[in-house]
Amino acid sequence: MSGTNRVAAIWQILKEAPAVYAITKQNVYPNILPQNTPYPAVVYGQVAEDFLETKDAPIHNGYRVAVEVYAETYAKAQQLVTAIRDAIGNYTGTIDGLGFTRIRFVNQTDGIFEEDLEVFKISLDFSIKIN
Amino acid sequence: MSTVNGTLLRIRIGDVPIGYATSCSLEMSAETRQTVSKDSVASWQESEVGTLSASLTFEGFYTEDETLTPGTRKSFADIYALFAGKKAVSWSFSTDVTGDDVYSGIGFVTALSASAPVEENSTYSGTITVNGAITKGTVPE
Repeated sequence: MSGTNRVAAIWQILKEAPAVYAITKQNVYPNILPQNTPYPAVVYGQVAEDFLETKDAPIHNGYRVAVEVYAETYAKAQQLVTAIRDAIGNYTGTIDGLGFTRIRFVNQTDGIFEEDLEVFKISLDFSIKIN
Repeated sequence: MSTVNGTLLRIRIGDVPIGYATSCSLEMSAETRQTVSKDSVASWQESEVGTLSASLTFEGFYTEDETLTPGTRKSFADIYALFAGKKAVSWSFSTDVTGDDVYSGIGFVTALSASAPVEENSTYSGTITVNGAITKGTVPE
């Protein structure tokens, strides 16, 4: 199963999470923010795909996904981070036939203030284990 | 000189490889008895070789997914049955490549364990204690 489908499923979870939608509306994008995107906004993307070697064949060991939050105030960025972590931070289930053993929150890092955009940035890392 | 890629060397129980193995080993040892006498060279130990023994150890990823071990691989459950039943098993240690060396014999599963750390892959490991002689041969076509 491609990583793209698994990562796209994260977008589906986020856009359907009421607390996330209430803050971002539809401003959740893969890999890059389109120009002139209003804030707050979220960008997500796959940063790693892991396989374990065995004598039979490699075993798929999951994905690492980065989610970046942009907001005009630090408080709003933190509010959005909380909503995202609540939505996917310990998610298990099936989306469009794709089984997720667990989406696990790994790390949160405050980014450098984006002076050109005048927004605060917070980065989140999640680990995805699949069925 | 070329070395053998460890991925190719496997332990088979019957003709079935141990499933999703990550490592395996064949270990042999010999008991010795000292034969130091008044005729021995000063300070040097002298010995004769006595009983030979051997064991095989294996490690792998623990799974209960039958699609991953569809009868062509020995699973943890399969090996447990051999352990609990105290059944003698025929084993072989080889690459299964025609012409390569193959070591084989009879043994018993004398140890089996599973490990499940938090947010890590579950693994299992075990030991087959060899019963009797080891035969060295060549993998046939």
